[in-house]
Amino acid sequence: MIHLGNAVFIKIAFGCSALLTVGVVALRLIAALLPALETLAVAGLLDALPGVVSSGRIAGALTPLLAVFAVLLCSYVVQTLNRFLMLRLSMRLEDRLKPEFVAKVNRLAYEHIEDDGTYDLLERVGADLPGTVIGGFANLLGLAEMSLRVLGPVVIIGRSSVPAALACLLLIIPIAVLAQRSGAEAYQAGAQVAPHARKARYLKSLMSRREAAYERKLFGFGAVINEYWNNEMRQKIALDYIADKKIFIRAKSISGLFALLLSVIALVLMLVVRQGLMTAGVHISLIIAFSQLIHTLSWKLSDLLKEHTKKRLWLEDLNRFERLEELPGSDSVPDKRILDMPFESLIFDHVSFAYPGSDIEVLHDFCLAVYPGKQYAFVGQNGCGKSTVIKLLTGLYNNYSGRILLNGRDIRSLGAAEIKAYFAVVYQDYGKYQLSVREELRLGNADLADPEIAALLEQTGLAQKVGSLPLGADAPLGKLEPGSADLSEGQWQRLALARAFGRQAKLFVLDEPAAALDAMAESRIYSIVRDIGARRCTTTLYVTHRLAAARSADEIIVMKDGRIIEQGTHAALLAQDSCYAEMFNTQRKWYLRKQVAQA
Amino acid sequence: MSPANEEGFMQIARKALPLVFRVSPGLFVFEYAVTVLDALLLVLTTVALRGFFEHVTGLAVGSVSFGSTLMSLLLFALLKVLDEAIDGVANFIGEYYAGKSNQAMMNELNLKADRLDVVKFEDPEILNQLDQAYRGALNVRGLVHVLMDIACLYVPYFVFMGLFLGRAEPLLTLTLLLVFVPVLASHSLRSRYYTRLDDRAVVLRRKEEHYKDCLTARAFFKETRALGAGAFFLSRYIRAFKGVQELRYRTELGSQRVAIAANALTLAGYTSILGVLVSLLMRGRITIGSFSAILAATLEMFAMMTEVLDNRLGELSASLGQIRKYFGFLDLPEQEYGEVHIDEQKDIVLEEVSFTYPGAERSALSGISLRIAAGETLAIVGENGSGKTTLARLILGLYRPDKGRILLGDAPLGELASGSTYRNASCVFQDFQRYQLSLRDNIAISDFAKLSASSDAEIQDALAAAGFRANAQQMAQGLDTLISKEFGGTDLSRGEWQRLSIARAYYRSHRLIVLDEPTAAIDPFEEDRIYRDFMELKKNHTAVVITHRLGAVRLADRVLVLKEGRIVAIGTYDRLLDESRYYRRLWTAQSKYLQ
Repeated sequence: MIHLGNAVFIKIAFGCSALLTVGVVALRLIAALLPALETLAVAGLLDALPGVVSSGRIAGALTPLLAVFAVLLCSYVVQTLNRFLMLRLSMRLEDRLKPEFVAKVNRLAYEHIEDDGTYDLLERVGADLPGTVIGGFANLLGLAEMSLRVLGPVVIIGRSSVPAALACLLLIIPIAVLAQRSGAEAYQAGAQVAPHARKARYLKSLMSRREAAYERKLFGFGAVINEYWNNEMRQKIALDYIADKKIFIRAKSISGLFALLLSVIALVLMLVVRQGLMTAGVHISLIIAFSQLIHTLSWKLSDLLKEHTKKRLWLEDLNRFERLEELPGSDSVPDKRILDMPFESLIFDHVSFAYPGSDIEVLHDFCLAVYPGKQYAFVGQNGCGKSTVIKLLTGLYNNYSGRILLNGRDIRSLGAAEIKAYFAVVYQDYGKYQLSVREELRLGNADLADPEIAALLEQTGLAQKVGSLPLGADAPLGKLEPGSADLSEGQWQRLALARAFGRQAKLFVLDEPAAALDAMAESRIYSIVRDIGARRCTTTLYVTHRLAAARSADEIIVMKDGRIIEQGTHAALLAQDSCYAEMFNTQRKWYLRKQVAQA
Repeated sequence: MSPANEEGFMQIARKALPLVFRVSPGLFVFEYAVTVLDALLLVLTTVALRGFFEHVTGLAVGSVSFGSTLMSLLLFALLKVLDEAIDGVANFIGEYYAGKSNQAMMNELNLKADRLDVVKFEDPEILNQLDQAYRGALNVRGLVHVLMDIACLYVPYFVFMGLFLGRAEPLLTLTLLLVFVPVLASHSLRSRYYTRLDDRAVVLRRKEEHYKDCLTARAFFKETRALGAGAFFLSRYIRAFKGVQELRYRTELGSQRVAIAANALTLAGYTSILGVLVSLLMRGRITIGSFSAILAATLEMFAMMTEVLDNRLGELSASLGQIRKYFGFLDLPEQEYGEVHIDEQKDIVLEEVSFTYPGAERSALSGISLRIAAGETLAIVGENGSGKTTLARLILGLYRPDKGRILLGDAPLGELASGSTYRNASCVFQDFQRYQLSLRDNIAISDFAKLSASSDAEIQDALAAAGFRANAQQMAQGLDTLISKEFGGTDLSRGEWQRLSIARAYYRSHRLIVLDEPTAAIDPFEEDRIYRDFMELKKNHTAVVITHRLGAVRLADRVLVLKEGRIVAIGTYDRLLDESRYYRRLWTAQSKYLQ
């Protein structure tokens, strides 16, 4: 009934706290032995009773009475201690596993984060990692305790008659086989139910998530999607029903068999008692013990088995998670020493790249040279590969062919910490970190001084907003705490810019920085980037659809299907009958006054 | 929910019982009939065991025959096997019933969420409550089950045990109370500890969740990595969960202290039973066989008490808070809406409409008066946060105005049914959904009623009109193709998803259609195409277009300019350029780079 793979739970617990794990195991061992001790104590009491009755004096029964009391007291103490140790152990597991999980996810190769299947796996494994481990550990302990409890009375029988004990053991074997089988079956059934459960979870999210609420209300699809959900649930329940039926029949056959076994044992023991090998007290107390055991078996065994299966399935997920590839150095802090190296050139040398698991190359033989102090804009239709360029540049993906050379050195030979310091990136979907303004700006840049923070807020036009907050730059942003301040989209975006500019990086990379912004906010962003860029002589790479941003760049790189198709200044590209010119005109014509548009 | 009007245990139980009962009344009655039978058998086995023990002790002194001892053993064994079988049936039905009622409880919640005003979904508190309510839904049946088991199994069993013990000595019945009064009392005390914990840990839990997201969620991942801020968030995360841990530890310690006190009382009860038994034996009131049987029954009772009642009530105490949230959510007020049909002849009129989001300090819209003529195309422009999307949601009937009213034709909507959901309205949403369903369902989801009434041809039409052109290889099963990588289907590019969302909006029967500008980046060609296609599709229907791209609005009949929730200008594109300074500023901000 025990799948050996689940022993991993003990290993993990032991790794987190050897002392507590050993303590818990020892306690459970004692807990498993206590029923046998109780049996002996009760036997002692029952055997002392005839003497008490005949003599009319209680003295002879005092010791056995005390023993019975002691065993009971012991079981309460063990129970309470066990709960306490399990609590401490679960805290230790949290201390260790929670940060480990989060840190590992944070170090994963980026492809895993972009993959829906893996992302879902992370959810399943990470939802309650310490809780699941402690549950798996407790499950094993429960199964072990159950086995020991079955063996206890057999040993007691053995003290009186070895053949009788051996006969008992022989009777127990088919029960163990039955339990083992039912574990395997439960596992199969569990694997079948999983896809329905996942589908149901998704459909439920359509009924309950904020993001889906508007379409649901307007389109009125609630009733139908809910029926889809009910359908998946019905299928899941039907499969559960079949699996449960098997498990229950097995578990109940086991306890039923045990009840039969009990009567056979009782019969055998009657003979043993008749031969004078066993006292009536031991006989009766053994029957009491077996009778209790049957009840516990029937209550707990099927639960333990089902839980065991669930944990086994979960371990497979954990295994898959542990095998996920990490990106070395991805959790490093920027190494600013590299900033002493002046920027000379950045060269893409015949770079080709396909996303992992895909055959389609999103970059083909991409060649480009970037020189200091200039602004570059990457433009092109969706899917042309412009954002991919950024992902390679910032080391999110490394498995491309060709080379990217920074001052002649392959950037893959640089440490991740150095790349982080050298490039400052602002993404379209910048994170809204719920910290204070000061903490936001110090992210990855812990030694940023207060005057610099004030200057950055001034430059990005946030000084007034921050000044209006009661706690100024220390005011918490977002919605975590009562009294937090929320920013508008544009303000969040400017904060992300301020953070990037605070970092003194040599190259600025802006991936669609104004996508979610209105015209005014967008225009403001561009002028901030230009002003600061000019003041610091930094080199900027833009990825953008907004040709407004492209226009002011020194060099425009037009991409299509993973290649550069045009390159040059705005004026030069417009002069040709170029793709850029066509894009520019597509956008521009919206803005021409009517007379012109009609012409 | 404030603690003051928090519902008590029994109030919740009174609500839960009929809900769980209704899931399958026949099966429910059967399940607990079997449970009563189980209790009966439990009692009978105790009696049979006593008989057997009398025989065994008699056999030892030679006062009874081996044959009759064997008979009494067989009777006991038979009853025990029967009891196991009955217990198995009860458990199995119980498990099945649990699955079915969990489904039913969640179904109620799904439907409730569906009926709820959509604006409620903007309130983080409500979302939080819904989240907990779903967890509570899985425990509702557990609550009823424990109560029913108490009524059908434990009470009959303990009552009998009381009688059984009382027949030997009335005093024993009294000591029986010492066994379970402490357990019950300790649970009601302990559940209070857990509720207090839930309330106190809420901010810390939210922080823990957020810092974890900063390290692992897609929305933050790239940036956190690029910033090298992993270590920072890790330390914040640890601090937050340690805080929760500390609170939980103190709660558990408090709860354990109560449990220890209860256990001590129970132990005292047990000891006194033992004492009374010995004295009865010495006074010759009971035989050694009876002594053994009563002792066995008491031990079994204790095992039942600690293992079953204790554990099950323990779980119940921990989940009571969530169950409360479940019923709290089901009780949220909702509005009854009638259906309103928009038709071609009727204008949509807004009179002094104001709207504030729940929990917001400032109103999102104020004093909006507007008449959208039937068949007209109105563009709404303005900066981020100026209220464009909110206005569209009001026009679509998704929100109800706080002040003012909306009229359809000349009939005031407020009197018909305030803020009705419109039948003939459709929308391309800003953050349109990517349904992990079949291609057919992805379109038909906007109007399932239509799907059953018509063929697939209309779906094909909608797809064609929206320019959806995924290749045949990818859509191997035609409209049945599942569009979801996760569930083993195919995936679409962003652009194709966008087209799908337009086809979806177009499929729905409509007289009014709204296009809310997509937030994510789309290239100029795509953008150009979306607006042109939309104008083509809307034909002579009333249409509202929301956009940042001020160039695109020239296709509209009129342009409405919003600023900080108020209308600053409305008119034709050319007139606004000439007459509205604010509009000109917005327009110039975009167009200056394109001249």
